[in-house]
Amino acid sequence: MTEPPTLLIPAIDEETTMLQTRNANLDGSTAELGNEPGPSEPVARGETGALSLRRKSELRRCAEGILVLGLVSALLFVGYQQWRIAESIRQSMGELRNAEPPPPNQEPSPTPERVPLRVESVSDPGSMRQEPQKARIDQLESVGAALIRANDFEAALTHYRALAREIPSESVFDDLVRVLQSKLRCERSLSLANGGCP
Amino acid sequence: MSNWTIVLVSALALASCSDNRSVTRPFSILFIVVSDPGLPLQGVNVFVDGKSIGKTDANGAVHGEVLAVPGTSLRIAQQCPEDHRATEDSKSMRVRHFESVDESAPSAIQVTLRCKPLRRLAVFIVTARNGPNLPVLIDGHAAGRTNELGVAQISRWGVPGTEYALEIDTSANPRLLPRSPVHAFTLPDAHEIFVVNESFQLQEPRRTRRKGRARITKIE
Repeated sequence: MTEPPTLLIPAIDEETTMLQTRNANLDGSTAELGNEPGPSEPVARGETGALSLRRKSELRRCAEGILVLGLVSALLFVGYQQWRIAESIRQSMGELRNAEPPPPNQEPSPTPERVPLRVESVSDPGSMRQEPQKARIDQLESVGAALIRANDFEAALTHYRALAREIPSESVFDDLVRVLQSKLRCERSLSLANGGCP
Repeated sequence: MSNWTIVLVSALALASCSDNRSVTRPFSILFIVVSDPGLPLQGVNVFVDGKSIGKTDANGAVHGEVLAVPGTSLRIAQQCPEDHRATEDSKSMRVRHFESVDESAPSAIQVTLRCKPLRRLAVFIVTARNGPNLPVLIDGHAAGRTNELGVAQISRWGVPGTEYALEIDTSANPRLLPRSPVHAFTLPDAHEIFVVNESFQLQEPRRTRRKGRARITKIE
């Protein structure tokens, strides 16, 4: 007696559900329902899914490759820049250390920093080299100031010794040498014996 | 005979026990005169008990052989050059004799004396960014000028404790900011380098409002 009603109720429910779905497809009134696949679509969807997955993995691989390449090239660039900076610092330090003037028969160093200064007399207004000479002295003064700012007193001492030798009229360079020697606790006489000063 | 022998032996024994410290001995002393620690001073006359030993060489050193009784004190003094003064009037040193088994041990006693400079050197390094050809004044007086790159070096002698006011004069270019900045320094009891870093900016010219009739908007 109790079985028939129990069997009928689920069938009605299913039917109702099917009808509702179909109605929604026909309507296409909402974007969500309209995009739902039809009965034959699951196969196509599976293929496109596989394709998109493959494409995605290819794209990911490609992006990874580009990223790695970018990183490697950035590292190479940074390394090259560092090497260039180190090389220029090494070169300038070497130039400062070799501040001794070259022998008279020797050609001066081609580097602009170490070309011995040829100070022309002020009473020679017609000289064409006066302006570049002044610019070079300004540059040398700027380098010396930078060395002192950087607390590199040894390099500054070498630099100002060379400047004082080349421009003996400027007593301030002699004074700078004196103060730097005092700071480095050395004298010319002692430096020869101890090697403590450049 | 035996009595004489006993007396002689006793006398010899007593003589051997006698104090030999009263005998004068030569002492080798190396005097080093410095102006500041590590900076030797040349041409300084060194005296031991008022007697000149000699003048210091380029390394600030003078070597002397002094005859003295071990255990006695020696009075050491130095005659400092002009613009220098001894840190103490004289130094007292007691000498003792000893034998060293170490052959490499220094044979001379080393004594360091000091003649302190009365005046000190102050060097000012001025770096004025965007400030070429600017006069630099020290205590209101023209002392130098920055070069085309804005760098100037100026040196001054002064007694320790001297105060300096360094001014970068921008009056010729009133558009430079800050205007004529002043830096104050005090000279310590040592040669010193003072670094002045100043960065100038060019002030934009002020926009002047056009003279004209003010517009009146009536809001109803």
